[in-house]
Amino acid sequence: MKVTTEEVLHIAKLAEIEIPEGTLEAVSRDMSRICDYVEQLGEVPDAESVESFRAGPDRVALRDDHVDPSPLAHPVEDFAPEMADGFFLVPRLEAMEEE
Amino acid sequence: MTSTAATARDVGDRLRQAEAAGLNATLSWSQEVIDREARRVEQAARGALDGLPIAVKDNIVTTDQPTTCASRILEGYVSPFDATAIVRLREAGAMIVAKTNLDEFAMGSSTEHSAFGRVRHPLDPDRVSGGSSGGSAVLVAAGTVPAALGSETGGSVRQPASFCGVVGVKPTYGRVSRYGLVAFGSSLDCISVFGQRCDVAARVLSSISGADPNDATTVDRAPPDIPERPANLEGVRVGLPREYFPDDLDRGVRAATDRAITALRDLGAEVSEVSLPHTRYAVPTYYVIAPAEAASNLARYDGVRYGVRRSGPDGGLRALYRATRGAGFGTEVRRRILIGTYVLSAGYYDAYYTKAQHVRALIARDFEDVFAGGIDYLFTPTTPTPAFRAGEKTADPVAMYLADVFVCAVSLAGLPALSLPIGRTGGLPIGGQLIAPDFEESGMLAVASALEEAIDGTAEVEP
Amino acid sequence: MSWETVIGLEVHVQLATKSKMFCRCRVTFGEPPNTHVCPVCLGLPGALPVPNGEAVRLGARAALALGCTIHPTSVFARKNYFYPDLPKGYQISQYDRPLATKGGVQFVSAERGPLRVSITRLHLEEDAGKSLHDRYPGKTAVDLNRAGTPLAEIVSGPDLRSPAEARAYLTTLKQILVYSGISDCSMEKGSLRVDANLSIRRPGDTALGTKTEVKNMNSFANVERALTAEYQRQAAALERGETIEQTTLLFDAASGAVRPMRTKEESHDYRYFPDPDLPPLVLDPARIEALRDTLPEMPEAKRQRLVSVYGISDADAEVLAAEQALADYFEAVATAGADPQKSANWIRTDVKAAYNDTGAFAVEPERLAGLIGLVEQGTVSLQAAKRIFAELLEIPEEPLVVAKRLRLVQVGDPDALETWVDEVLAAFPKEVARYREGETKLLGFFIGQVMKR
Ligand SMILES: [Mg+2]
Ligand SMILES: [Zn+2]
Repeated sequence: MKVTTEEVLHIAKLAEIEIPEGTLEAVSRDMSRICDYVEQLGEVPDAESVESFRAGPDRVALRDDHVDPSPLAHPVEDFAPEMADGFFLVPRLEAMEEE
Repeated sequence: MTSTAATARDVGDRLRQAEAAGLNATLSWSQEVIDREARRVEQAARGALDGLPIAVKDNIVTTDQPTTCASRILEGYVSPFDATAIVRLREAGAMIVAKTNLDEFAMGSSTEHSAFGRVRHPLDPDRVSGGSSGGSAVLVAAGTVPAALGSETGGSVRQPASFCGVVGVKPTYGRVSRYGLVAFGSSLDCISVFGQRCDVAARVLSSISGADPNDATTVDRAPPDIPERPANLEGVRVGLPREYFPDDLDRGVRAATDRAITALRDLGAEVSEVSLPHTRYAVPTYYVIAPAEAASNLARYDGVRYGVRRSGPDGGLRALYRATRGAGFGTEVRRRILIGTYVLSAGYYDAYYTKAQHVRALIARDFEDVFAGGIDYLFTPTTPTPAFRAGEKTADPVAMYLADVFVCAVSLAGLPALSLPIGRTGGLPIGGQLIAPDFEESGMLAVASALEEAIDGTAEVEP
Repeated sequence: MSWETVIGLEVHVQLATKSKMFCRCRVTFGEPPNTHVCPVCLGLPGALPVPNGEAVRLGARAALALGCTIHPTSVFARKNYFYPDLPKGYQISQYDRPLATKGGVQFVSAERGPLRVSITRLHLEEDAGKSLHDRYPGKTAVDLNRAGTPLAEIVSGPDLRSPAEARAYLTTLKQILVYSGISDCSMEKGSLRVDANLSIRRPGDTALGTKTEVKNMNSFANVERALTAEYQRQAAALERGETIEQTTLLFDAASGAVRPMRTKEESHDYRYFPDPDLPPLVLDPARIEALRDTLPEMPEAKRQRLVSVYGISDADAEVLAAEQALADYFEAVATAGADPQKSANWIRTDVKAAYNDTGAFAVEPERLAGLIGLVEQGTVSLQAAKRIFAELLEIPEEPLVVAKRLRLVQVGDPDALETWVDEVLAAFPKEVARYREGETKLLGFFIGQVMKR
């Protein structure tokens, strides 16, 4: 396998995605299949000098420093999973727990 | 009853019929919302789209209906702001009547990857609509609405337009604001338009075009003119890129494109063969760049500020992230996030991401060279086959990706393109694709409307 | 055996804009949580960033003030990581193509004399929100008012050799940034934050030792304390024959100690890539030059000029140049005719004390110059002048008027006294007649009238 199960687990940690029980092998197989497929890009010689390409404007248009917040049609409380006193709440970050 | 109110009632009836037919094309709509839209249109000044009912892909945010991206993770989410395209459609007098089904977060080519069930092809329920904008394509094909918004990242409007037998137009990148389009691959994403005919698609595209101070990637260009149908195509030079006509092209598709090419010649166009040598690398390039951007764009679905939260086994934050995202995203979305994370990760970035950016530039240059060589438009088949059967390509992700082999390169190059119906084979629609240089939508639509008039797009074509 | 300390600093400075870096929300401090948020800084589906031109201008101004080369094209990049106060799951920053590189800060090191510490890079980025870990049991509370605040990150080379030098560098850096109107650089309000990297090695070694990162310092003094503590920790470990682990430590101001953060599960892999939502940031060379022209004189240049133009002492010039307002006031007093060295003496003592209390100069430069003149002419003693100055702070009167009212004028000039006596006698003929007739208690009245002159 090009993308080993260990690599899948490492990547899944970076992406904060749980790999459902029993699917690790299949995920590794699918990722390997896709990586094998895209690897044909290696056939294209690197040497060719090409300007990097970007669709859209050549340069970013800057905004004036005006305070004019986009309004919210309904308040944050309407869609937040958990709030208290205006704060979003999440389980306390493990790194911040007292030792 | 006013004509707008009557339209509202009729659209509601047709949406009910579409539902009854089991197309599964809509994710949310209600007669109440449609009637409210009708009243709003009546009270407003008349616009270019006066009273036109439009369906919108459910990855374009709206304040009065949920926006789920066909994902469990956004089930029930109602955006507190409207997309710029929605605001502009309303300013032009359109009625937003329904939110349509899609592949989850627009990741797919068949609309089988929706958390809320697959979309059925209107002519054959066992076949796919194409995707990812399958719901919008189907509603236009079924005659439920005259026009709809979809979105393209790698052909997600043109491909289902081809499968369903409607017109699908992708604008130049930067022509239409992405503000309020839920991001998938930001350097590729374009809100795009389905229409029953070229003229309505052109009117809708024109009304949503133009620079937007909320989207730094929009270009300051006047909206494209709505073209008159030309009497002939004399002086128009059409290129046929040979890489888009492989030997193993479906015989029905080949016959339909041959007939369309003959029609272009009969209209006076100069048709010649050209080459886009990096075409074969478009799909692999796309499947590095789009997942890389997607992995980053979808990091915001973390269960902290909105969306459906799930707790993890130990009750901690990391476990919450992993459970929320593991269960909230479907298989294909998880797969693309993982691939995208992988190609950006330490040690792999250059081999995959840098390389893909390099090839992307070569693909864009292929088009530039052809257009600089005197070609006005390119003509190709939109898809290598007509609509395939549901389940046919779900086992092998790469097989599914190859359904976009003729539409991907255009997205990478940021060019405008469209698909229009050019005939049927075995009763299934076939699309022909026109590709234009940057910001030449108007001319491209003129050629398309001439072709649309010259051939019967619904006629069976004998191979 | 001794150790050489090698320190590099990463300073995050809040740019003094009205609105956030990529959205039009107001930049605030101390407001109720999540009241200055919008689709963009909440990271809602479909929202997009649009950069604030003023933040770019201030960042470029900071780069110029620090002698950096501004790159005509720089690129915003995404730094990807998960944290509850990072709404998009990535921070928009700049990575391989920063706004500016290769600058420097000059100051005088107590140990090594005049020094130039290199600035490796200066880039623009957005701040994250705020996480409160101790307010709700078992929960982290997130406030995104701060999310999207524009920052410049200023990275020094590993050029500092002691905690004291690190502090001196920060003091100079802050002066420059405040001078240039880039930031108020308040550590209390979080508008200046310092992360320090420290390693130690044997003197003469050219390779760098393993470095650690120290965070969570809330004043320059605490930066010095934290780095001293970390130096001692590393030296003790190496002397015990241990190795240094590359890690992040938090400073605890109460105990003065540094303690390692609870180890993270992953080494960081931020997967930087160019932000596809933002085309390249292009600054025309003409615009950069125009910006350079608007820069004020920098503290070091000002210090040198105060010495050469006004002939004041190095020490005084240093104190005055440290604060632009103080230096400006000094120049105004000297221009109003006061002796420069005497002006400097006054300003670095009484005036500065009053300015530090009130944040303003209640005594206009002309009045202070007048007072200094009175001392110089011998009209009042220096001691008296201090009392008069205290009075001048309260009321808008002329120094001489106050001096007379307080009867602080010392008359060192007999001719003047004679004139005043003659004037009084001429002005009050009736009282003179009564005095001559024996009304001796009028003497006090005459003295009073003379004093008033
Ligand atoms: Mg930073
Ligand atoms: Zn905001």
